[in-house]
Amino acid sequence: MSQLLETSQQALVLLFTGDPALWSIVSISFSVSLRAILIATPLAFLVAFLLAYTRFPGRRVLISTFNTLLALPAVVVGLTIYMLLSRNGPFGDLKLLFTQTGMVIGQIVLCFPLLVAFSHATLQAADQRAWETAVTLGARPWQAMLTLMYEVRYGLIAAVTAAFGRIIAEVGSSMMIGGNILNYTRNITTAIALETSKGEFAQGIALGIILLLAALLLNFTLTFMQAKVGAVP
Amino acid sequence: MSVFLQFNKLRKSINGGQLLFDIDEFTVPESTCIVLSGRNGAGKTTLLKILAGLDAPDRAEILCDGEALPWKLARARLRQQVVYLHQQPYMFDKTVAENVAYGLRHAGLTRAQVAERVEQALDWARLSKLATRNARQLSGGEQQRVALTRARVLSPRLLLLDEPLANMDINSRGQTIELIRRFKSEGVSTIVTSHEPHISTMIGDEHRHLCKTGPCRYTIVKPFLFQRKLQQSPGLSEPPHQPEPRKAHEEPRAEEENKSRVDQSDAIMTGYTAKPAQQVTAVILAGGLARRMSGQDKGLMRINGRPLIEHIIAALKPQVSAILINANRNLDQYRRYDYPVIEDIMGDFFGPLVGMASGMQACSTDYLLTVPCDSPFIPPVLAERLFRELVNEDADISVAHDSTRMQPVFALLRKGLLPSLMTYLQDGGRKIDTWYAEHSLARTDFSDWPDAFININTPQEREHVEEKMMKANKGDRS
Repeated sequence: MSQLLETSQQALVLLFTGDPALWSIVSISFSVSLRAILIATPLAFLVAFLLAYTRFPGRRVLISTFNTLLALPAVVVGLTIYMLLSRNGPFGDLKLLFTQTGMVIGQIVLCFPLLVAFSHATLQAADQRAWETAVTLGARPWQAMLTLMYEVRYGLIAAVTAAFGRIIAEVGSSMMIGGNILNYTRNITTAIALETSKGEFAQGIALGIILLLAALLLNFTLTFMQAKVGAVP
Repeated sequence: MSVFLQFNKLRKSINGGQLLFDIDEFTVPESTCIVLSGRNGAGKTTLLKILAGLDAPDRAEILCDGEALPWKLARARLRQQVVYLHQQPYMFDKTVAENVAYGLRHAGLTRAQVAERVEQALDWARLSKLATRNARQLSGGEQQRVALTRARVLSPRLLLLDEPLANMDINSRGQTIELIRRFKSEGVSTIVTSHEPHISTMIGDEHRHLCKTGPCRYTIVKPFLFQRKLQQSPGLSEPPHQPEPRKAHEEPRAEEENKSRVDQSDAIMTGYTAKPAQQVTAVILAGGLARRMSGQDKGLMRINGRPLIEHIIAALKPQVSAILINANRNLDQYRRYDYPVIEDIMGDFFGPLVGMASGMQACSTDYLLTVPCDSPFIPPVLAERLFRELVNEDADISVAHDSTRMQPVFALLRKGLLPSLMTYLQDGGRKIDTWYAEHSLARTDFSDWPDAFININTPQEREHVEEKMMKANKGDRS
């Protein structure tokens, strides 16, 4: 017990003294996850829109597939992409294994189904009249699509927030694809795993607090957005 | 007047594959306001959405300004030139001004041009004060006006209004009607759907009814009553203007040949049995003052030795299950016929509508047949033919028509219309044609019974009738 208190104290010191090693790890985490989200979101919204507003064969199968992939374990993604990117793998020539780009790819794969499933549900529940009104007022289909997304923006932001929460906190794929290289691919979660195995708990706890704060912030945003969604008639 | 849009052989079925409607021809002339009525589920909204390019028909031949276009091209044009307004308009989650600007922003105008037009339009609709409010926070009536303004700035050729007056208070209604009228004066065609066809008398140039003419088959018919010409000449004393003969009317002969088949399908379709006799009560309207007959009670006037009402009873008896006599004078003499005699339920000789209301209140069947007491040559097929047309057209009222004009007192009405009639009477309405205009109407052709509507208003006419009756009787004997 006394050890836990002691390390927590050290962790707070690390946090408030601005330990450069610690903040480098934090910035890698956020930079990788933000890039993944920024790349995945537009594409996921487009897919979700097509699933909600067009009819094509295989649409239902695709929806079920995305819903199933919500439960995709991060280590399975890590393993699969590791195999694809490793020297002997089909994309080995790209030399993306143990790079931040590789981690971004892993996180895109992880958050994409979640983004699609959540935003599809949002767009599906959107007022049909919004689309019809936009179209009858002369908007082209893509313009009407953007209008529709604006109308349900709170639901879509909630989807993005949830997706970001998932990838900032995942450890499996970052560890396997990134390789936990200091100042390059070591992010919050992989650092915690490493420090814990070394018995250096202070840094681990400090990073954990940051992760927890991030999760708290995201959840507040999410709750706020959900209240907004409920308020919009 | 040139035609903006024409849809031929327009067919639409709903998801399960069930046919919703199949319309031979639907034209939209320029600068015309069409009121489209029809029961719930008749496909009014779907028809409007097809006209707006928002829903696809199963098939249709589309002419846009006389140019035949395949659906994809027609759809693009419809989306540019036609604006559809939902029953409850959708407001974008933006300010009123931004809502009004929505269509313009996609029309390739500069920001300044958009702003200028929006300002003008808001002024036009007296919405300037609300310009910066979020449109979702407005009342229903205000939203309706925003929606109309948002459509108007685009200068559409055709505006489709889905039940624009439903769920609105009287004030908002007035403002909405006013805006619709202004559209008309600006040369924009409008199609307005409504459950309350009387709005057609306020704004419509033409009334069309989406109705059943066969199992699951809906077509557009144009009830003649609502033509503008008629509205301009009050009453029914002048022959109504009939622009196009209605198709359904050219078919009765074929229908008669296949009568059993048609009757059967009617029964399946609507649950009504084909024979009207058990469901119809007749009321003889003998409550008038007969001013031109120097006050003589017409029903009791002797024709060839028998009171006129006896001739009428004899003609009606085989056709209906019960007979009522509506009279306000000489009640004892009318009671001799062993049929219930009912007096007007309100007023002081207020005319035939009150007689109809009294009949509806007293009758125990679902349908009421009304006949005047001064037309002795009632056709033996009166009830049956009116009834068949009522069922075919899925109408509320079936009215007899000779080839030139409607005969509003020869009618078959649903008993359920009583509340509507009472409201109308209590509001001071007395005219048959305006009340009829509030309901879906089936026009039943009796042009093959030329004597059916001969009535006696003057002593000379009485002599003429007596002569005619003698001749007919002689003809029977020889």
